[in-house]
Amino acid sequence: MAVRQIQAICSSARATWKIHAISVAHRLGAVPVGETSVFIAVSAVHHADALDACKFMIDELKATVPIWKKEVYSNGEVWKENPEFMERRSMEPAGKAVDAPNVACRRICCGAKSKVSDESTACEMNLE
Amino acid sequence: MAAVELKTGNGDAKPVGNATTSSVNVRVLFFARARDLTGTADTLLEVTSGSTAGDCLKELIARFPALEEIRECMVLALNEEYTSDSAVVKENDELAIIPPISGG
Repeated sequence: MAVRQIQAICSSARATWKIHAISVAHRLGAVPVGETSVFIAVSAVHHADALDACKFMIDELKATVPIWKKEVYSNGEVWKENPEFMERRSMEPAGKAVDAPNVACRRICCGAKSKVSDESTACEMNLE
Repeated sequence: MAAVELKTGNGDAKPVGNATTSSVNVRVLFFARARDLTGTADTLLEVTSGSTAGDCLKELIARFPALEEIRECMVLALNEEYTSDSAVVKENDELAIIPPISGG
């Protein structure tokens, strides 16, 4: 589903901006701290189109693509939650009405399950 | 389930039984925190024909009460597309329980 969603985002970008080529890559599995987890490249005749499309795509990816990241610390682990998703949660997903939306959704849902006292060690990515 | 009423000659109406209902089998997928809470990556659900995604969720929370923790913040996907609670599930549909995402 993540691939389908990314493809949908690419289509949306093409419908809005005049762009030439798009490339999206997302790491899966263990990703050590400091390494890149996502890559988006957009080419266009006009740089404004490329930049605007790129920004749109990363914002949409963080709001809608079913990929999860669990940060692993020496003293625990926690599933991260994108604010972009939490904000979008109260809006219509994919053009369909949301029944009884919880507009005042808590900032953290699954929440910080453990206290962090030192630096994180690795990030684990899970793909739907 | 619907009850069928049969009126007898003297005007009495009494239910004679249930109308035929079928059930549908739905495959449910759990991700991230949902998987932690249920202890499983997937499960099979049998629900009454005409049930909605929301009905399935109620059934899942009854079976896995721990899911209540993320009920307010999860979204549902039916056959790899985001869906609302009112979407009707069909035989062999795939319902995904999607906790808050964190890609990017």
